[in-house]
Amino acid sequence: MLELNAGIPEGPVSEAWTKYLDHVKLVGPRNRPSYDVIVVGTGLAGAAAAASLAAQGYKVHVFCFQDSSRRAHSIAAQGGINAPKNYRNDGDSVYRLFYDTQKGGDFRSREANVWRLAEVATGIIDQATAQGVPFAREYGGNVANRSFGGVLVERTFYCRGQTGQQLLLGAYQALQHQVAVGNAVMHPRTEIQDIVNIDGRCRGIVYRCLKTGEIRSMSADAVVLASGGYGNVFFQSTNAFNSNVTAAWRAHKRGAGMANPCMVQIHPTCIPVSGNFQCKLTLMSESLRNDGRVWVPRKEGDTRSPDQIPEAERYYYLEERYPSFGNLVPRDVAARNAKYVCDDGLGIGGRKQVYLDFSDAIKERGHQVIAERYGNLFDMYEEITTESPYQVPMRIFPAVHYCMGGLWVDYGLMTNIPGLWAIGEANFSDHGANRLGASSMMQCLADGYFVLPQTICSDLHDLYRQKVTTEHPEFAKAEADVKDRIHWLMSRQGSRTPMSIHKELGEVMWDYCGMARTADGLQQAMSKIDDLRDAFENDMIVPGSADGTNQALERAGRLGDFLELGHLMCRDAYERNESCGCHFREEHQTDDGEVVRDDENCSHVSVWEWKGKDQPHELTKEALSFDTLPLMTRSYK
Amino acid sequence: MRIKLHIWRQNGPQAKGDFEVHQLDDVDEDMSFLEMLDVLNEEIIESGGDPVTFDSDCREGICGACSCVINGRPHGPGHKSTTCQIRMRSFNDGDEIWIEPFRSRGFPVVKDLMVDREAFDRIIRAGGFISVHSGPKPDANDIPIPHRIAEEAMDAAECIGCGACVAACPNGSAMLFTGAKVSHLGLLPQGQPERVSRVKSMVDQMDDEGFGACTNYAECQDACPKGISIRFIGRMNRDYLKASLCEPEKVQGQLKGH
Amino acid sequence: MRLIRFYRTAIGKKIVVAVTGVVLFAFLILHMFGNLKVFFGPTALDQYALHLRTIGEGIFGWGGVLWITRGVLIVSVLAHIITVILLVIQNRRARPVKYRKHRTQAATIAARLMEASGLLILVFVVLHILQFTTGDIQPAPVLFSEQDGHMMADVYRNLYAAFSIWWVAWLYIFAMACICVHLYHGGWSFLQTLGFDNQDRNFGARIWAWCLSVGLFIGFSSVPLGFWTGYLPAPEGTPSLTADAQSTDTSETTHGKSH
Ligand SMILES: Cc1cc2nc3c(=O)[nH]c(=O)nc-3n(C[C@H](O)[C@H](O)[C@H](O)COP(=O)(O)OP(=O)(O)OC[C@H]3O[C@@H](n4cnc5c(N)ncnc54)[C@H](O)[C@@H]3O)c2cc1C
Ligand code: HEM
Ligand code: FES
Repeated sequence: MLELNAGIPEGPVSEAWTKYLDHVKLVGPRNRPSYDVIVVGTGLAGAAAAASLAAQGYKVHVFCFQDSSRRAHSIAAQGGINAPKNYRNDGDSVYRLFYDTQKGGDFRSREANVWRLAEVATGIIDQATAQGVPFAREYGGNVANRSFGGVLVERTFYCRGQTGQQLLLGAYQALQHQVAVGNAVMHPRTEIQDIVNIDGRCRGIVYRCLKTGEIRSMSADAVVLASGGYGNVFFQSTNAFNSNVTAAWRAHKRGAGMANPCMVQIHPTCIPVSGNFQCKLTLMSESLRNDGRVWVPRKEGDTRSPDQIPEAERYYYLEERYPSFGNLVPRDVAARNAKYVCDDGLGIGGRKQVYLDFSDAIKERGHQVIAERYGNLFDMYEEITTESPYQVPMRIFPAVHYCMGGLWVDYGLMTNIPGLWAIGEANFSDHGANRLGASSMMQCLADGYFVLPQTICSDLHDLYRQKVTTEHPEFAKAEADVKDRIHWLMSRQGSRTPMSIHKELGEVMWDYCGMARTADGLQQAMSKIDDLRDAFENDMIVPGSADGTNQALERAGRLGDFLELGHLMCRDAYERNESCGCHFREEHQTDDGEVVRDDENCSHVSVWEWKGKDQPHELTKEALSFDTLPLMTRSYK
Repeated sequence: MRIKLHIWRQNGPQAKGDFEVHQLDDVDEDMSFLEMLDVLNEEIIESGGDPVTFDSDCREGICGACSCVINGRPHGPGHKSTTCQIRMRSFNDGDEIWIEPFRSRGFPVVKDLMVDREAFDRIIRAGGFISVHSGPKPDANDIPIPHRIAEEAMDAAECIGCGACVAACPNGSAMLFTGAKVSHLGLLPQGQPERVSRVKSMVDQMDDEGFGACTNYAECQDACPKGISIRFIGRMNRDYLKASLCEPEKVQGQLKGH
Repeated sequence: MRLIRFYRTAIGKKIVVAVTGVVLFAFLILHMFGNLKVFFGPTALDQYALHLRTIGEGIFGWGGVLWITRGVLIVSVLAHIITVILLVIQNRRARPVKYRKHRTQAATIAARLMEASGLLILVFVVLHILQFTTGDIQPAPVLFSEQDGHMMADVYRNLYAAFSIWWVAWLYIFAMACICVHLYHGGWSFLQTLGFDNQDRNFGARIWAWCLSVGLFIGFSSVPLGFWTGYLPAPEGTPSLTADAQSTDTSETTHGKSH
């Protein structure tokens, strides 16, 4: 059993953060330079945290596997970032953002965390503006807003279609400034292989230098994991090619609890897979469903071109099944229904894709209007598929997009291992069972700029008197473990490439632990993953050598962690015997396919503890309470 | 389709490299260029060889990791696209494709097609930022920024730092990259206090990294996946001229050091 | 100090190239207008040549202004060339390993030919000075006579003699083509280097470079072309093509004096 204490200050959630700040133990400016902090990851969360901590005066070491920290996966976020600024005077407030996020997450997150997120979010926009992030502006010079996914206010801030890029560059530049000042040191092209615990405290890391293959250690007073999400366990996802779970997973194997690993969001509108060589899927903005109509042929395996299919033989399944919301049902419902019709063999030409048709909208509103609204998306689509959405309907299909689950953290964002922190998508975060659009960047930057820099001192206090160095025998032991593991991987001389095994794992995960899950299927999946682990151990081939760049070796190492994680995700999905948000158990649905929560038995965070290789994980539950916003059924009708 | 590949293989930064020929007989034209390389690598691994090392991450044209010169053009045959956005249908059946790394003194080859672009980080470090700490800041609307200025700054800020400008420039110059950042920050009101020192330090750093000078060929603009305009180079020149000859030495102090 | 630091950077050097280029450019324009006097008859041209030497005579003495101008030009040419050489070295170093395949896409031919056209211009300028200014090279005899108490070249007569030879005329036209090519890029490029470019000026800058370079080409080439085609008449008292070669020596002494 893990000992989990969220450490939320007593009293109303709206006062918790102030209370926390008033009582946290501080580290004085003269002492800060004597603390070493390791930050793993340079996405929005990691870069923001590293820059903030370095600016306070801590000595910060920053790790990422790209050649430049600016390339972290966060760079790809497009749509925007939320903040309850109420610039539009349309009734937005901290409470409203709290309400939307908590309800959007289907009541599976901590109220206090969500409230704090809503509370600090406005500061992010000001912070980014001060850094020179060129938010879109109105003609009068004020910041512009757009509306986003299913909320009733306009609170989304954006920089064209590159909001993530601009926000990340702001944080990246702030971090580079700290490097110039001398408070931060960059370690690009490195991969964290393990964390080192000494006397129950995280005291450092072991990492592999990806250019030379060297294994090195570094000691520190605090280690912050900001290593992103694990969506790539599905092989095909909208995540960056190299995103992985290794840093978080190795920490998990050293004792950190993994929370709600089965909570994965699947985005309904992505460009479908076009061949079996594909790993990366491209997102098409959800806003397209404002004007596009979703349909499939009524006849199974219909191979006629769409203009040959008469109106009567088209199945506008969202409009038929959800007459009130039609094509604008929430993400998870849209995604699930696309899966249903394709499972029934109704996908386009029998394949796993559905139409998103703009011909009616073009007829009604004119080519010009549609081009203005979606021109750039249409162009991007055409570049990839060669089909012009002005002439033929778009083909779309859902794809894995975001992980709500992650390392368990307390209110201050520390894991259950003292000295080890997790921020950004890597923690189990504030999004419960489902994340709303434009709120991941908000959480990553809130964690990095405003929360962690205030909470980390709570644990550092006085620690600099008890420095450890990498001379400590624990480091030697951890390094030896890592070397053994790499040696073991290099000695795999079977017949299957790491990528082919990964792909198969992805297929299993997608089929059984994707948009719809059943107890039966999940059990099958677990045994299939066991087979894959067998293939991984006995039939994999890893080429080249470990001294120097070896991308196949990197992939193999990550795959090993994905296999273990995949198994746990199925287990978690199996044990969570309800449907909620993105976790849809077919056993728990209404007649018309809606999610049915089991608040009595499942109002908790599932936290998993690693018990050793070939040992089953152990589950600890952190109970959730709902004092501020009472439980309600998430309904869009 | 059938494709013959000539791929640059180089075992390490100091090693001597050369081209290696590979024949692929069954290339799907919907494949992306990098997926084609993935498939090639799978074949190489299965036959016991050493797969081709190349950088990529987002695979949708925004992270700037991918970096090949394909048939003499950085990021290959597309217009305003990155290597990862190229599809095999841009080539013809029976084509020969030459793939080389970005070549520049500032971008040492790590292995095969993979290069290091930390030089760009160091240029940013020299001054490509606005010095603010995290914490409460004036409201974003306190300083209105005209729409036109915000858009112009965004045009410059779109740079993905891939280095295609350097790779394309016959002089191996990094002026477009540097000019884009100098312009992005120099256009915004928030960037004014450090405008003078920024342009000076960044230009100095750019030279120290061993990049060439600009002859205004405009090759960079053509190769840039974001279509960043060389007018930002002009802007930087102007700022630099003013900063180094007109401004008093005192405001030119280094940004580094506390 | 400040200037040294400025010159050490690539942009500083480029600005020096641009500024010196503009000086040379301005000179070329004046020079061209001077040359065009030839179409107003021999007297006009020779008067102009004399005028160049008598400007500001009261202050700088006979030919003083001319020498100051020459000084500025020589400094500019040297600075231009030396800086260009430094830049070329820096640029070559920036790409130690060449591409096997490399195609330029956007660069104009003129831009790609800057080094070559510059070099040809240099060769031409040297020949040009040796021919008409010092008279060291004489494809056709170069005559000097006394004017205003000073020895001066008989400009119109010398031009006529030289450009009546077909290859001299065409050599000059070719050299003008080099200048035209150099300045088609240079005329736009210096605006960029000095930072005049912006969103809506670029196109205008290209047009401006085109007009100037082609204008210079036409203006300069019309002179050799005029003589070669016979459009420009022979000078009065048709020159004795057998004139004594001694005049060369005379010219040297002349120049000695005018220092
Ligand atoms: C296509 C797309 C569009 C999106 N659009 C939006 C949007 O509009 N709004 C929104 O709010 N959210 C959006 N998101 C979600 C959001 O982008 C991500 O959740 C968020 O960026 C995650 O940031 P992060 O800092 O946690 O991690 P990441 O950005 O993933 O960074 C991870 C970092 O960790 C490093 N790392 C990982 N493992 C290791 C290791 N073992 N060793 C060393 N370093 C390691 C990596 O190098 C990297 O620097 C989008 C996501 C996608 C995929
Ligand atoms: C009449 C004489 C000349 C004129 C009017 C002239 C003018 C110019 C101008 C305006 C430029 C553009 C500057 C810029 O890019 O900002 C330029 C560039 C250049 N000139 Fe000249 N030039 C002359 C002679 C020469 C000579 C003699 C040489 C060679 C030895 C030369 C070599 C170059 C080169 C190589 C460049 C490009 C430099 C670079 O951008 O890297 N030029 N010149
Ligand atoms: S892989 Fe990110 S831009 Fe190509």
